[in-house]
Amino acid sequence: MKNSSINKNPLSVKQLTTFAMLAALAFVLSFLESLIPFQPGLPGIKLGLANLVVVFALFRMDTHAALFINAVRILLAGFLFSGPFGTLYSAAGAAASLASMSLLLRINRKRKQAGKSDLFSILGVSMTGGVFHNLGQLFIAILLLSSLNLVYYFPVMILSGIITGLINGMIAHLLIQALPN
Amino acid sequence: MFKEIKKGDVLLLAAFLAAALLIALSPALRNTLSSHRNHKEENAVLEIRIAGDLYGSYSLSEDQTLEIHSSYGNNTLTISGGTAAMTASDCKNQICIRSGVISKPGQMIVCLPHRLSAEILPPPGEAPDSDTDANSDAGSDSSPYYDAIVR
Repeated sequence: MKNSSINKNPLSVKQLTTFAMLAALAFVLSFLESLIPFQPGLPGIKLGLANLVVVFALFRMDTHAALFINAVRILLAGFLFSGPFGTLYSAAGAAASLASMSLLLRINRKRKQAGKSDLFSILGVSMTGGVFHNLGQLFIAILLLSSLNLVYYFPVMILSGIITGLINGMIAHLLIQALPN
Repeated sequence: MFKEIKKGDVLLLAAFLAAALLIALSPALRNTLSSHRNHKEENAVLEIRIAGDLYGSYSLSEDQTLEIHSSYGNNTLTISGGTAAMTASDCKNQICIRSGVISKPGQMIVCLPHRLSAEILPPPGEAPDSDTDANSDAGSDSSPYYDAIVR
């Protein structure tokens, strides 16, 4: 029931509405987060609540669905709230995060084909996503500010990524258990 | 939920923490290495101040024992082998004694009851801010850090 393959076949109405709903949800969470005054240090660093939806989509659907939802969210939020640089930050973070998470899921899938159990749970995947989200953003910040000294900010970013990623992973895990397919 | 945790999760967490720790420690590590280099060159300067006024500057390369007397009290500071330590003080809390041996630029011993501070200044011609050399450190074989490791 998990990982129902959708990219090969035309979208069903149910899939289309799920996509749209999750994209809207991710967008709303992005907006909610922009209301929360939580801005430590660098611009563009947030709790990453919208990534919750992405993790959910990644596990319930597939990488393509997660990519689509993320792209819609970033573009919408970019046009409405965060401006060009904010969009660049979130896009870099989202790309790094999604790439790392789908890599872990691919490893899991390969092991499943070989008859082994999963190596990573949703917690580990979400944690990695959180860390790489922050690293992607910091990478852009280093490029934009052309200051290599920001490298010393990496530990902070890694730790905050671990924490927010784990929180998101727990919520996503509960959601996936609670919501009917 | 915690039954869900897989071996890979723990490995990832350990890897991330190790990476964070490594990066966090790298400036400190570099300072340690460069302080060894200072050991060799022994050109760092110890600056002693009492109530903010300069009492004297002493080279860490000259082994000596300083008897520091002021209206606040008496301290004995020993410089030996490129390091400095407060060896005696008639202050109440003896925190200056317990702060041990200092050898790196930026380190200091403070005796608050006697309003005395002894700080190691970076050798002349070297930037005091360790962050500024992050750009220039290419890690080539000729770098002083490499020399310090080899020794």
